[in-house]
Amino acid sequence: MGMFDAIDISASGLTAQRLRMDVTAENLANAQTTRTPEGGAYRRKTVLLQQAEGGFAGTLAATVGSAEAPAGVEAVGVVADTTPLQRIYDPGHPDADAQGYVTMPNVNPVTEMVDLIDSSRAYEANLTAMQTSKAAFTKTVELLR
Amino acid sequence: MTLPVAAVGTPALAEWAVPRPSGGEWSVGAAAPAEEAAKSSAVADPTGGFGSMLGDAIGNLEQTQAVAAEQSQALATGQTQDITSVVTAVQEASLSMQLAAQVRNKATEAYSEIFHTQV
Amino acid sequence: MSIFDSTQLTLHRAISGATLRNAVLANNVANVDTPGFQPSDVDFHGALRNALAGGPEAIESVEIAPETGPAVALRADGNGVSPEAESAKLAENGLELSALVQVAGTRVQIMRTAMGVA
Repeated sequence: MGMFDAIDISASGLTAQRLRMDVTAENLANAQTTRTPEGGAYRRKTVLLQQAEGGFAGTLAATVGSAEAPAGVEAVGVVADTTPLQRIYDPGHPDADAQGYVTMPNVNPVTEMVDLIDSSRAYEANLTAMQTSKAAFTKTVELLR
Repeated sequence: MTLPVAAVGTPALAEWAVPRPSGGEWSVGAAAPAEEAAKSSAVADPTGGFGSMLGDAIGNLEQTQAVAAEQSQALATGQTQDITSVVTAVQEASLSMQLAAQVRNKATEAYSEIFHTQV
Repeated sequence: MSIFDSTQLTLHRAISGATLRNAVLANNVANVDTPGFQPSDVDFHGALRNALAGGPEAIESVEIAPETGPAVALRADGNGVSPEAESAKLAENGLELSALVQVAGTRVQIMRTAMGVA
């Protein structure tokens, strides 16, 4: 709906950040996983975010009244990180290969924690934007009081 | 100032309540013929400026109400793009109606005063 | 013949629609952990848009009811509720409800001014 575009866009931001937090949590939980259904060690996952229909040209056109309004952000996929997996020397491990090396996931807990902090700050920022839009709307309607 | 005896005797009191801002004059007794109305105008004649502003505002009343109704309907059916336009349309309608009501009240008061003037 | 015109009737029906929608969306949020639950919504806007063509009787008798959306599984237990999306809809609906109430109230005030009451 035209009236609530700002709120819808903030909501899409919240959904995207929540997805990033979920994926970060999965990465952290699987930091030591050497077996996956696809075979091999766990590969770190990242979320691909894309601007949903719009950009500046879209916003301008929508203001002039000739095109669809921008819709915020959308996650287009959860893809595997292409960083090479680590090989750790651990001959006693059940999944060690002939040379005694185990392929471990390419998950760095420090990176994940930074991503987590970033996602939660972005989530809060989107919440604040949404609160501001709501307050502006309420103040406008109060003119009629 | 001539006493508008002819106008007082004119029927259709209801029409009196609505001022006719034709040519900037406020005439008493809309049913009376034009020259009689001109002779019997009891209120001082506001030329241009304020008078025509009030006249325009009253003439617009119908339109402001229609615009407000349209905007409210758009709000109810989810077709509105912008809450500000709805709010300003409804406010304008409310203020126009209040203006029209005040004008009506004052005009009726003035008429009663004249009607009850002792000769 | 009611003292209210069709716009006023539309506003009143929209207010009841928005109130119902509030309850339905709150129910969605409450069931965020229920296995297999799919969220519902109330499209009172669409219903009123269709009824407008039919005049006051159609507006008064239009059916406004919740409908379940297409089945989507966001979590392993089959639950399809996205808490952020439902919260955003709740916020919007609350704002819209307050706007509708204010506009309807102001129009009634206009009628009272015209009648000469307060």
